[in-house]
Amino acid sequence: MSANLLLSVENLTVRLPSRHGTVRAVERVSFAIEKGKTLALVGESGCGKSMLCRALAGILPGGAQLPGAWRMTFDGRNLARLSPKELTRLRGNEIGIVLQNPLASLNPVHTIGRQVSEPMLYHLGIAASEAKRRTVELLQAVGIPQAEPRMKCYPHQLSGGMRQRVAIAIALSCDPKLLIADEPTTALDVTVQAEILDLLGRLQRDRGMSILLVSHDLALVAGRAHHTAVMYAGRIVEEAPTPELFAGMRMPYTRALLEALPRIDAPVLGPLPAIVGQPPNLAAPIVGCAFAPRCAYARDLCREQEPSLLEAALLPRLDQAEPEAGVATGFESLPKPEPPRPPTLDPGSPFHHRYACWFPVGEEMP
Amino acid sequence: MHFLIRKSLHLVLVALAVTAITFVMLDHMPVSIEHEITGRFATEADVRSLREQLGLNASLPVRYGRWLSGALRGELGRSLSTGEPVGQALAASLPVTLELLLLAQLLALALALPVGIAAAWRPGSWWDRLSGTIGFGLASLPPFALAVVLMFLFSLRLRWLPATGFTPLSVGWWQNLRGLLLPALSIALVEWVTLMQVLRSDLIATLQEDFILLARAKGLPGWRIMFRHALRPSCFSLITLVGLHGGNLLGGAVLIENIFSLPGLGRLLLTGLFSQDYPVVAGCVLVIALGYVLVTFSVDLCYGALDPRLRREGADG
Ligand code: SF4
Repeated sequence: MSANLLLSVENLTVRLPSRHGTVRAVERVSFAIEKGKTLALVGESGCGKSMLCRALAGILPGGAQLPGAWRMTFDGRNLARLSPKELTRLRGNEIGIVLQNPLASLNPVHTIGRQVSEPMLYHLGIAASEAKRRTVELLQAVGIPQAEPRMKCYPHQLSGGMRQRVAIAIALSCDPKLLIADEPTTALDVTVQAEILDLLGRLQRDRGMSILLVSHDLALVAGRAHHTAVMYAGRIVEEAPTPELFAGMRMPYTRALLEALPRIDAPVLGPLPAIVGQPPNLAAPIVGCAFAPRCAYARDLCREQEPSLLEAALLPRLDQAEPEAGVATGFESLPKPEPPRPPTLDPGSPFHHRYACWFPVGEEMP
Repeated sequence: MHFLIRKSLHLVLVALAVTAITFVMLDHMPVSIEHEITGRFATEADVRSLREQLGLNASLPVRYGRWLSGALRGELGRSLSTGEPVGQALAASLPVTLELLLLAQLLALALALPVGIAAAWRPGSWWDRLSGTIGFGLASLPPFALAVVLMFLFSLRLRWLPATGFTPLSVGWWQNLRGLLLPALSIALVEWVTLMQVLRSDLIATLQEDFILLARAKGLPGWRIMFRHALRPSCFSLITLVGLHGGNLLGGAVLIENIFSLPGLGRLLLTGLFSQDYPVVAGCVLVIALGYVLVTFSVDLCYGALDPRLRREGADG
């Protein structure tokens, strides 16, 4: 494992008991995040990305199980070997999380100053005056004007964007090495979304932290992430450095995700175009490719055997891609050489383009 | 300030309405004070002269008007049967009821808070199910039945506590407490169950909130999350219920007060009712109405203290 990796996750499975049987929220997921880099995790709601975040942040719901031989390494430490106390400490200190709805994720009855300073007071054991000074600094760092008087505000007195800035300040309070942002802009106005994402980018440059940016909006986050992983039905189905992914998406689902997005030139009347069909029920066993019922390319093999995550090592690199191929419309013009599929699989390595599909886009149909 | 004026106006209207209704109702009671006083062998003339003497011959509105003008001057009249000034009778019985009420609420809260928190901590655990079952059993008992059981157990069998009677606080707090413990417990043992149930379900709902998730992500220990983050936003139904119960107890502890012979407001009211002693009844009703309004007022204040979103003067509401 490279020393450059902050977090590597191998073979992580999360099962949740529910009234309708065990939900396989996350299924044998492996990925890694480099130090100081951003990994975007993209998928429809209910694809397990939130549960993956919660597993990383140690806040899975009661009864959740992590079966199988998983392995998580954070900053050189094997998380399975840490005691529960050390784990809590690590998670409070070194992993910060920002949740989707900033109003719901802030305590309505505490001032924002108190909420930002609480983790510092608890974990770092610093004096109240020092915590206050740091809180003001943090609030300034996340772009809250008049930070000092604002500390006495309650969440309901702030706008949505300001609240999310406060939530980010909370996540940053113990100077984490990894910031998990679970749909950080979904509950916000479009104009504020970009501001918050810009803020995250700036904070990353200033602090050198890694970010796991989770979203349902591939186009929104991809431009800001070094790496992008696409999740479907609890599995990572395609993963690549972002430029390579956009240069050659192989998994039909990834492509569908991008096409499901609203376009500027399309009329905004009526519901947004969505991917046809429903995501699979994760409480029921899935045979074959989970995307098969919705996939235009599906064949018998897809419904019988689950494709494993394979490397597309021989795909054309970005620098060889046709220059006029735009990001959102470049699929049609992709060069279509038939590469021999290498059978090797390097779990957790973030430096390759991997996808799980029998009949990937851009390959000749046999 | 605006709020205070509205509340006072509210109070005046409530007081007028309930006392007027009291007068009308008492007038239709199948008992009459003059016969009570004069007794079975009185002549028609005796009764008539007593009516005259007590001012009962005037029409209902006139009597109410007279009482009202007295009340406005702080003069609540005298009891028709004992001749004792009503104000004095109230001053003697109100502290008993208030003490009982306070003690009962404290006991109920002392039971409901820890049990409710522990039950909400792990819903469905053996503790949760056990406390739920016991609570259900207790709540289905009427307080007076419980009172009889407690009295039998603690006074007659174990002889730990007196069965009846009340010792004023001025004599000694221990004797005072001993007299009130059983009556308060009879109320509390029934009441804590509803308090526990609303606290439990509110806590369970709060614990599902994102801000609890975030508190967990902060790496805070469970007790801190429970007490610092979850408890306060989960107290609204609890406070409302405590207020409602308190208001009810003000005039509704009649049975308990009678079983334990506590000279409280409920007993005063009841004796007044049965003898058509309307100055006494009207006085009691007035105090109870006042108490009710005060209770709702303080519940409102508690809301504001618990949740900044409900405070009246905020930066932007
Ligand atoms: S494996 Fe088959 S069904 Fe699944 S995405 Fe690929 S083509 Fe579609």
